[in-house]
Amino acid sequence: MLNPYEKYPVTIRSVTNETEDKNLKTFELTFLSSEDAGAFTFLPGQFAMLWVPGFGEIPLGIASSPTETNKLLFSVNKIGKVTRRLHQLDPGAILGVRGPFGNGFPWETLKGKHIAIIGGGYAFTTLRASIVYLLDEANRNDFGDLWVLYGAKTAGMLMYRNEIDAWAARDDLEMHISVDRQDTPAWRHHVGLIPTIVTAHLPPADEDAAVILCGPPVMIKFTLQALHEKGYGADQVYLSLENRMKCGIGFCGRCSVGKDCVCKDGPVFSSAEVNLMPNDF
Amino acid sequence: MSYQFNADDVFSMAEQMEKNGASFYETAAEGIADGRCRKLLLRLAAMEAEHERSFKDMRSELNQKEKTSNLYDPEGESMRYLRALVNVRVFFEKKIEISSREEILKAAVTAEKDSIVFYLGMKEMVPEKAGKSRIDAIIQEEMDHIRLLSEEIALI
Repeated sequence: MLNPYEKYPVTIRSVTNETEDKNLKTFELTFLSSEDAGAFTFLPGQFAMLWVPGFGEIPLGIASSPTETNKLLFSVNKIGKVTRRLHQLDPGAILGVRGPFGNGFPWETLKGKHIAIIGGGYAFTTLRASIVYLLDEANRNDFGDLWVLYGAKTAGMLMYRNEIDAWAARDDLEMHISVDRQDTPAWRHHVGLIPTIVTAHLPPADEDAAVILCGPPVMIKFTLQALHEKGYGADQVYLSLENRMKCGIGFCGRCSVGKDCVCKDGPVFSSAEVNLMPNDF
Repeated sequence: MSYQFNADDVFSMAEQMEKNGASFYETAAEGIADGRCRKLLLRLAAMEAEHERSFKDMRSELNQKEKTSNLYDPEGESMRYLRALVNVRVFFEKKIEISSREEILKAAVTAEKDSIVFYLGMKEMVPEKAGKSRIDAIIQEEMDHIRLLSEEIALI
């Protein structure tokens, strides 16, 4: 598609409630045209603009992996006008998708490295895409050891429950799941904030290690400190930033931070790049 | 970049650490029958409480800019993370056998060493006018604590 403002028409195939508060749902979308489906090529870490007719469009990290054929997932927190409307929609509703936009995680650079994926709360969407991508048979041998550290406030707020249980059972990935507070005696995993899980369970850095980190800003701030103490350099840690993105292609400047537009130059930046950004981010 | 720690964060962590320290020594003193050792632990508890007050004072003297964080934190979770960071790094919070005098004193030495490492790192993050030299004085006192504790261990 040449015009970045043009939308691909899609339909909702299924809707899944992810969390016990029912504020977070995953929408599985299908392209109405197989030609559009073929043209929409993306990498984990990229985002798209999702348009809800009559209500507007919002930027969302793509939660599916390109290895999942003809499957486009968005996990959406009900927080504003557009997302409230989206949460009311049922399978069969027609939406529009623009994109994909942004750079995604630097998969070529990451090849051959041991990768730790660290996420907290609702920000796990593009990390889900990354894990599925890394575990795909076509890609798994291109990367070294894998760790996944994922935290949520309570067990009921963990996303993708079936998948994380399946990942935890694998022997080619080390998974640490944690909740901030234990609210069920049946909980079998860690209790504690993600930075403390990093301190306790992530191996010290070596030069072949890299980290992909997404989460609420407070979690990121303290996790960066924990990673620093483990020896991870700022150029070994990749963050996905969120900002008020509108056009998705760096034209409107609404999401600019210093010289960068988050939508076009990001949303993925190394921690070293983020350190150079002005304090307004 | 708003992910960096500011002076307010650093002093909050220090306050928490000293509070943990005072509480550790008070609890340990309760489990000790030996009068001399008990007195020492209570003295150390009082000194840690004094350190906590010093950090509180230093924090209150920070200007608005030094206190302000641009970090988006709608649920005010920073303090929980600060506490967790301190509790993981300094030994005070860990469970020890408080009926053993030697165990208590050795744990206290480890905690004091952890504290010194933390304050040395912290010194680099705190502006001169926000109390850098007072942190030096506190490091000196923590070193004195190690000396006192080591003397006590030698008597066992």
